[in-house]
Amino acid sequence: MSSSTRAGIGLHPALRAFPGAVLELAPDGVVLESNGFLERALGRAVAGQRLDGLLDDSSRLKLAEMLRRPAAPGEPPTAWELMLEGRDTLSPHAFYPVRSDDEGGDERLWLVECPRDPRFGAVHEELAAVNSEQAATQRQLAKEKARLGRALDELERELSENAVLGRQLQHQNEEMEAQNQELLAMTEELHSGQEQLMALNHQLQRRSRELQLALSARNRFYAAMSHELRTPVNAVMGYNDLLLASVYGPLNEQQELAIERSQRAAHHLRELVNDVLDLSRVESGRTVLEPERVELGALVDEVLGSLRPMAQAMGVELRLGPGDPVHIVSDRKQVRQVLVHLVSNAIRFGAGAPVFASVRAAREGGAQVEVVDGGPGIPPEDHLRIFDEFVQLARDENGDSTGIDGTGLGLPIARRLARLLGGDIDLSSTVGVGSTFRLTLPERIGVAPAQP
Amino acid sequence: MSTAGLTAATPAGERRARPARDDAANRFLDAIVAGNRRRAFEVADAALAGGMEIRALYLDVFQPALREVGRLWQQNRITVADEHLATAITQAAMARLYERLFASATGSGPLMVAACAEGERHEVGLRMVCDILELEGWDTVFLGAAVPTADLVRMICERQPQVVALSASIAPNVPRVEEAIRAIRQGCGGRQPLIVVGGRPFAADPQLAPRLGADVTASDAAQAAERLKERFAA
Repeated sequence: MSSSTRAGIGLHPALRAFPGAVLELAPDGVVLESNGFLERALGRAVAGQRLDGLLDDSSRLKLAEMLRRPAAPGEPPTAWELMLEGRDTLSPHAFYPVRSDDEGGDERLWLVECPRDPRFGAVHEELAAVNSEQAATQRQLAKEKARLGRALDELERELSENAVLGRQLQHQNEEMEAQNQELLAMTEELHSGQEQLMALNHQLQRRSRELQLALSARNRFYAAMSHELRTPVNAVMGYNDLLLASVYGPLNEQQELAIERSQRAAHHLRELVNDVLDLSRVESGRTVLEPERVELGALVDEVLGSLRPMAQAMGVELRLGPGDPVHIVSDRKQVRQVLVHLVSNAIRFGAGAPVFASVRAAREGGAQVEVVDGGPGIPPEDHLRIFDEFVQLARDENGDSTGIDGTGLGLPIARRLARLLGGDIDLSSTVGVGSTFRLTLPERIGVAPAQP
Repeated sequence: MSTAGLTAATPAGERRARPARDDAANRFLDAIVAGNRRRAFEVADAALAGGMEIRALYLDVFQPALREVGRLWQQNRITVADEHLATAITQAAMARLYERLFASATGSGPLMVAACAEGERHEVGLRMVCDILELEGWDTVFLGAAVPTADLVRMICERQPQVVALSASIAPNVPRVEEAIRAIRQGCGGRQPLIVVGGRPFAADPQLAPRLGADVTASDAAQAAERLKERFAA
């Protein structure tokens, strides 16, 4: 292509100062002339280059369309908006196309930019930005609103669940309240029961005090009575002795028999008084223990010896079983008295059979003394009663003729004394074979006064 | 101003299958090109009342109508001012759907932060991608047009999304996208999000996206949503 075809007609000087771009294009889209406006806007040369090299894709299509298809005659010219690729690309440039044919038949396309008020362009940009921001904000707000709505629904659901829970709690609360009331009622019952018990307790304590008073009154009565009784009994026995010794003249046989009976009765009465005195002394707690070293075998032998005259009178044999010496620390006088009661009891109620006594050391410390008789035996139901005061089992009316006699206080006194010494008496018996009374005594007693 | 029918380019069989949608798209296009906001809203409302779903309204009415607006501007039949107005009306029509759109969205799926590159004003396409993913259960944050790269990176570090979506509608903004991708890759350290890019330059050159360091690209909102869903299906 010749250089003349590349040359433009030349811009009219007035168009050089035009406030927008003015371009002259060849039919193939090469820029022939430019008023310099576009060069300034894009920051590069334009003349001699194809204009579509400066355009974005869509504008390129637009230009190609325009170059290919001239406007129909009579059609009003329409402004083109072309997006230019360069420093300024976002705002489109609107051009009016002007066609001309020169004499050589070469078609020229003039593009004259519609100048725009720069202030208008700025406002337009501003509006677009505001619109965009508004749209984004609107979207975010709508999203937040939906999220809040969901949260609110959730909250409402939880609230209604809470209400259900609340009702359940209230129900449970009411149940607990009812249980509490029941408990309160029960507590009140307990309290009134407690009050009754306390009242009963008071009554019992009062009764107990009264009983103790009565007991001590009784004991004082026993002691006083025994002393008062002993004096006349001694007098009776004294005079009886004098009579029997024929101090007041000789007695005939009948008189002598009568006085002997009177003497036996007086003797029994004195024994009874002595026992009652012993019992009341033990019960009143006035007994003072005097511990000393005691060899039980010797003590038992001594007791047997002292009771032998009585046994011989009743035809009863007394035997001491073999054994090693057993030493304990105890009150010799009281132990002796216990043994006297046990052995004399065996002599009296042993039905004439021999009485065996034996001593041995107890396995758990202390000592045991067994007194075995061959009497009628004691049925189990009487084992406890036998130690009650004034009880004599199967006491027969012909006590006088057999000489079986006693106060009925021997065993009770023996047991009380044994307990006073820290020991006890128990009984094993087989009816028709005999009875065994077992005295257990501790190895040692304290010096403290023992309780009755 | 009269407009070309949207159905002119579609095959006859498809046209019969989607008469309601095409009709709605045509009437919506007429309304927005004429700058008639009220009529555009009426068309959208009528489509929804007729049983059309929001997704279909987006993909089969708004998207083709806006494409046609762009084509009309290319053909010099409407001005850039007309195009801006049409876009603004469409955005307003979309905004009117938000109550329904977000009410049905659960937002429990992956998180996506979406932004137009610095200097980029064309935001509707990206916004459509966000809204459609939102309908699919995603949680999306749409930052809008012309987001400064530094602000975008700060936002991504804060929210730690699984996906970042960037768009550029014209070639001169592609370098801004490239810059943004580089800044995100540097700023995120160990927790790299999936980066998806879109816009006309990426549709024209399929190799552009991988060259810039993006993970995914798509040619339209439906395809973008589809490809992202595939990535997070497992």
